[in-house]
Amino acid sequence: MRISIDYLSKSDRMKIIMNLQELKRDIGAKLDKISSLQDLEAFSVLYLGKKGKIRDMFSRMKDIDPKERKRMGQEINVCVQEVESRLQKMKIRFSENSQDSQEKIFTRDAERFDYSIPKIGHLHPITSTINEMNAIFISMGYSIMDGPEIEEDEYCFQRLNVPDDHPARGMQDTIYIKEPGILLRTQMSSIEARILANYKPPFKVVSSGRVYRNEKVNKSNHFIFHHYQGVAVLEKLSLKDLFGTLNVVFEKMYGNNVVVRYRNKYYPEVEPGVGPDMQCFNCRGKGCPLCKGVGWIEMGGAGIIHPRVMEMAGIDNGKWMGFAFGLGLDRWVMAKYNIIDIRTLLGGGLGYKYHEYESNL
Amino acid sequence: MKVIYSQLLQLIPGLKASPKEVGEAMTFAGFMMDAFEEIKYQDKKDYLLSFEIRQNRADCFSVFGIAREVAAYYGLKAVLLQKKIDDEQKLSVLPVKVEVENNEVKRIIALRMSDIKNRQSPQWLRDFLEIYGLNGKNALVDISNYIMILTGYPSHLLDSDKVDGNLRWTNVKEDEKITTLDGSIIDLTQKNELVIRDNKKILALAGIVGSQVAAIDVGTTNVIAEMAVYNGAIIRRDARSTKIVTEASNRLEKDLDPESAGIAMGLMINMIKDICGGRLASRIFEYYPMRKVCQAIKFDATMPSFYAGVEIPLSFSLDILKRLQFTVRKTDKNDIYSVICPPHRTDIFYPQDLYEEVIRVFGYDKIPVDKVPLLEITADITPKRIIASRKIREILNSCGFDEILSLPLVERGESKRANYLAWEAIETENSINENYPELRLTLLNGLLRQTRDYLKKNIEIVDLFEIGKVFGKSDGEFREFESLGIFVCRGEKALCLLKANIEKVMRMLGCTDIIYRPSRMIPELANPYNCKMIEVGGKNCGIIYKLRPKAVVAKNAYFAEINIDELLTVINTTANPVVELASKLVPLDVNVELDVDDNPGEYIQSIKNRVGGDKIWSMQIVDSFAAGNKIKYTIRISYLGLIDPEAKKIHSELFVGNVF
Repeated sequence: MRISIDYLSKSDRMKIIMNLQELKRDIGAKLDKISSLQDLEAFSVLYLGKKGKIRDMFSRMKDIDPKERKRMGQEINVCVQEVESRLQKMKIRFSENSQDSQEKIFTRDAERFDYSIPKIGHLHPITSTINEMNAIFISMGYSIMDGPEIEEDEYCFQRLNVPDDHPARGMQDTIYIKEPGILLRTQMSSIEARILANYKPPFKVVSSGRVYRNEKVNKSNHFIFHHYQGVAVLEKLSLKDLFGTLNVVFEKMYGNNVVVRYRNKYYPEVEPGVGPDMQCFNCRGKGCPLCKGVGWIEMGGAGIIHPRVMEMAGIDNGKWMGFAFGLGLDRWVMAKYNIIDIRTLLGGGLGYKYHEYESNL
Repeated sequence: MKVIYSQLLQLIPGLKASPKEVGEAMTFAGFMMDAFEEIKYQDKKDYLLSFEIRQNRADCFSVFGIAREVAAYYGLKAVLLQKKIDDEQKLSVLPVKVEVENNEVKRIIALRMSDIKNRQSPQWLRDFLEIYGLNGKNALVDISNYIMILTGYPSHLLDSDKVDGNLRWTNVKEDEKITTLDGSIIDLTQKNELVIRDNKKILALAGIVGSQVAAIDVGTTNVIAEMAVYNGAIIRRDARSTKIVTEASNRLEKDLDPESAGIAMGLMINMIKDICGGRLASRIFEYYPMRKVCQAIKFDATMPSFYAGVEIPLSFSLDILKRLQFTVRKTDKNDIYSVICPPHRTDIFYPQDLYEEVIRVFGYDKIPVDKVPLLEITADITPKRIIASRKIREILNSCGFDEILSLPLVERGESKRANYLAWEAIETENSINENYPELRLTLLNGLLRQTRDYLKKNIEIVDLFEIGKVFGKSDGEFREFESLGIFVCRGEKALCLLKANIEKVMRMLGCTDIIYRPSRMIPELANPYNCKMIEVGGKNCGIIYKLRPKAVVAKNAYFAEINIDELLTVINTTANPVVELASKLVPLDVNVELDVDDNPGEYIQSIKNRVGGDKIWSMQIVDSFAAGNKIKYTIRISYLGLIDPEAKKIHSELFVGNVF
């Protein structure tokens, strides 16, 4: 309701002054409660906007006599300036803390995030398998050894109870560097012969590496393949210890459900000799192309070290006993990594996916 | 060796085990059954068991041998046919000469028969041979094959009307040829092959194959039959040099018992008489210079238990030996016996052989497998090289490198192009894989082959390594050592990556004084302007270079090879990188100018030697640029354990006017 223009009565003038005081108190209280840019915006509209409360105060000045008007007008202006100054400071403060401004500051300082996936390095599957087996044997107190690949007939055959005229010579086709004395080792047992000759018992040793046989190369055969060999010479050993040791390896490599059998099998360097077989994981013993219908896969050879081998190494058979074992690695590795062609293992088609890794945890 | 189940039943009265049970029992006893087949034999359902026979059991390449084993396993007795030859005293001995070294021929039995009516074999014989994959030819040949399968003793029948003069066992002295029974012409070029000949021609390659010249045919009426046992090594030698393998050579190259040949010959001659008629036309010729004597072996009856790790009753041990036809005699010592093996067991020499006999028949399947052995603790004798190789693999693996393994045998001359050492390639003498006659001199070839394969298959980033042996000969000696080869092929920063990673490897192994020098030997595949020798601790330990573009499909390929064995000799095992940081480091720079050919690594090393390694945290080249024929380097030295003035004093004394 419009109040008459000709100057308000004293009481009405008092009311306007009181309203101003009240407004100032109200503004003060509201300012204290502003906690965000949104609150600040809302406050600005309510009090400083065209239809705001302070504007409304200004519009009521015309009803006051000029002497009072000037004074009140000045008071309102001071109030507006104080409010605006305070609002300005608040605005700056809120802007610095806002998500947008934070983002701008950090973005300026931040490097561009690289979303590319790093290439992961890989060990050859044969190395991985050897590492796994070495870890098993190290936990049983074995040392790791290696030896020459260019070998002497003495260590590859003679010291392993295979003299020149022994029928077992026909079992392996040898690649010679200089026949008959220098050759490429046909088995890792040559390292066993060197260990027996050069170290005093007791000892437990495993070794792994390449061996060479004079065979044609095709999908399932190669003239180079990989063996894992072990030898232990202690004061007391038996076939039971040997079977137990091999079983630990098979279970750790293939799981507790692996089925293994140990049968008598002749090797010239051991007596009694052992042939460990694993039940074919493909057909569970029923017979299939993988196991050539037998139901079992031959894993290698083992046995108690032959007394003649110990004699040639100068080890007292009466005091010491030893066992030895040799396991073929290639078919094992091929089965584990789904490799069909044995030639892949030595180059020619082996690759590693950049971003995948075999965790042995 | 295949055996028909019904034949086992015939030879072993009382055998009740099923064919599969027999197969499984023999598998554990040392003869793995590698095939089992239901067959029809003589119009009845039957079974064919196939056993793997190992090299030591020459006696088991026969039905008789398997029957003996099966009978022993089940505690039964095998009834094996034996028939004697009625030697006609009024006839003269077949004239034969044996002109060989004593140990080449162990025994020969030979005789002549006449008035033979050779014909088609009876049906049962043809059926039998068919099971063994042999076609019936005529009765004489079929009988010879039958006896070989039955007893394990090959024989040779000759049409005596085609033989000129007397038989002679002798060695070939000059190059000769023989046309075998199947028409193949074989060159005898070793000048020592053992043959059987008459006055004019070679009749057989002894123990391996007969010649066509005196072959038996349906019209044969007069026959010379010979059965011989040889030194197996001679047969093996001749079979290998002529590349002929026959059923006969397969048996005779093993240690076959000469004593039992008499039984086999007797069976054969009597069978010929029964089927083909005929009579003896000579007395038996026998050559048996060293009659076999079976030695007694001491047997401790408690030892099989010790070897097995389980209790095997003494009485059971002795019973097994007797079942296997060993003669067992008590001695005056408790549990000690004297054992004589039967003549057909040519594989028994040691007491341990007897322990094995007992344990294998007792049964390996009776030895528990689930006991984890508690073995004695032994010293760790693992050599450093193994530990170093393992560590190198771990480091490179974690740096993103992929490991390959490649062929150590390469094409002739292939490896020479990447060789950087003063040695030559080693060639194999007899590899049947003709494409790979040489041992590799370096690891580059395998890495290069894999890289080319990767690039062809669009694999863009190649970070590969291999650890393996390289081989060479110098001064007549063959050498090999463990080597690390690293190959990097990528668009940019290949050299940075390669150098950083090989240094990472070397430093993590404990090598500190690493210097790069111009290489004296530059491989053919290397860019000669980008080839350096790696010197560690004053020793030449390897090489690093850029490959010529033509060597690889891509342009930016680098290779380094390190001799791990050599590196191990310069490892500093006493280095201690750990410090207590009590004060700030003082990093100070210096700008130096070196000739293009000067080695900044050596320069940095000399600074370190002058100051003392304990006062230096790090020394890095932080900038470098070419200036005419010089290179300007900015080197930042971070001093350790010194306050500012001290460090500055040392620094200024070192580099007066920026000159060291």
